[in-house]
Amino acid sequence: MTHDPVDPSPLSGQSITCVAARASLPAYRAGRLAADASWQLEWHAAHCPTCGALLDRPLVGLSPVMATPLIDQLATADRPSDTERAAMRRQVQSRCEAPDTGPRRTTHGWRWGLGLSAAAAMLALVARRPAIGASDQIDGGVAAVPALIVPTATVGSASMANAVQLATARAAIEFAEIDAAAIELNALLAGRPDDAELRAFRAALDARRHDLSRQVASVTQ
Amino acid sequence: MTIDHLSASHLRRAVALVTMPILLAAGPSPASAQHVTRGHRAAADAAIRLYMPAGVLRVEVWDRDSIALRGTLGANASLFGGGTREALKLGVEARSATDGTLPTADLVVSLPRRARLWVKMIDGTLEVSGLRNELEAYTVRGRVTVYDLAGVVSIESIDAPIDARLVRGDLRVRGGRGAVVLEQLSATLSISTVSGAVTLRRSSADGRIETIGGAITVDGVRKDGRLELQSHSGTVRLAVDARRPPRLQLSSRRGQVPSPAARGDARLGEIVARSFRGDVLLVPLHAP
Repeated sequence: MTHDPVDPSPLSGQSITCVAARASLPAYRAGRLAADASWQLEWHAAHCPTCGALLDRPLVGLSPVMATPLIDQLATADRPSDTERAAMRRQVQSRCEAPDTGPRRTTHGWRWGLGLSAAAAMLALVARRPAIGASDQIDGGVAAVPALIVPTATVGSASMANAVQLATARAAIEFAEIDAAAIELNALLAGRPDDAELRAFRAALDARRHDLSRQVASVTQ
Repeated sequence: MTIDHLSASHLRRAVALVTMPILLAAGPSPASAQHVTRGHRAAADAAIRLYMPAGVLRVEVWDRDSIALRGTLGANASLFGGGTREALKLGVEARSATDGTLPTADLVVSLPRRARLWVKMIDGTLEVSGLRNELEAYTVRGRVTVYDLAGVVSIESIDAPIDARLVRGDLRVRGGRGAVVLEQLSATLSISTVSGAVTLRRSSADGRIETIGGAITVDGVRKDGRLELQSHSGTVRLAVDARRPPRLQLSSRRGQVPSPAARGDARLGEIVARSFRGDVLLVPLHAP
């Protein structure tokens, strides 16, 4: 499943296609891709199962890019406007609602096998994806991947694979909402890192992201 | 008996012989709707785990030392489970590992009133009533309705709407996009959603309600209690008795806030409402 032609970034408004995403994978894996381009690739991969699977596999043990969230870039980025946020949300929603249009019946082994792989990749990607600009970054601390729960459950049947796909797709919409809010707060926190109220707002986002990651991961548990 | 009568009789028989197999074949087959009835002995405070991926699950209570399960299973569903009087697990699973359809059932489960229930669904309707001890419920999508509960209640969903009515004790909700409606509660709350709206009405409650993009609507607080409301961009709407308002502390970084931002009588409770970008609105409370 590919999603040509566009995939807007909430940061720059630029787009990235599946072709462009795959072309930038080698540079991304080597850590040579610019921060903004990395974000665009991650954003695309988070919502395109095929590219997500491609991105996810080599990332294990190769996480310098993922382990270095784009806080510097995000903190100085312009806050997305309401229009941009709405457009982003609509885009994600339209894609993520596609699998829910009816019961999914996959009667061929290869099809549900492919579904299992895609679902597992999506689940792993969503749960492993670092929170954008974790709050410890605001303090200038050492960059670290947030301690999200990485699912360990196995997807044992076609129906369970569909359950995982459903949960992942529904949660992606909410992750997008959290991401957009985080970007907005990070931009402000970069200039006012000691603002306790802003930090409280940001902490609430982190907590909700953690809850949601746990909920997705627990579908099969 | 005339020739005409014989012909009509033969015709009716012929029609019956032809149509009966068709009607039988078109009716519900045993495989598509299996009726199930199952019972288990159970302690009064047994720990029960129920798992049903899709369909309708209604959980009721009764004053007996047993669990009863009755209803129908879908074509790709079968029952599994077992346990002891103290701990029991029952569920619905897929008959075929290659069928992608979520196993579906329509079940009514009766439990001892003080049972401790953990229940999980993926995409279905869950109704729970009457429990007096613990409930932990989880679903991805569908709908969750709980009423007349006491004790510790925890409900999690990614985007199912959640309705909770007549709950006493501690209520915890973690929601996503679905709206959360809380009514006639006497509880300490911990409510959190992403974009789902939260409405609390006709309740005596304290605790905390948080959303990111969802609106929060509240019409009161427990006397001597404190209710904290927070949103990122959702509107916070408070309906209070203008003659006897609780203590209010209202703030929004980028939204509108009524003036004065602090007012009211702390002896009648306290509501702290803050939003980053949403408006904080104060409206008169209309008596029910």
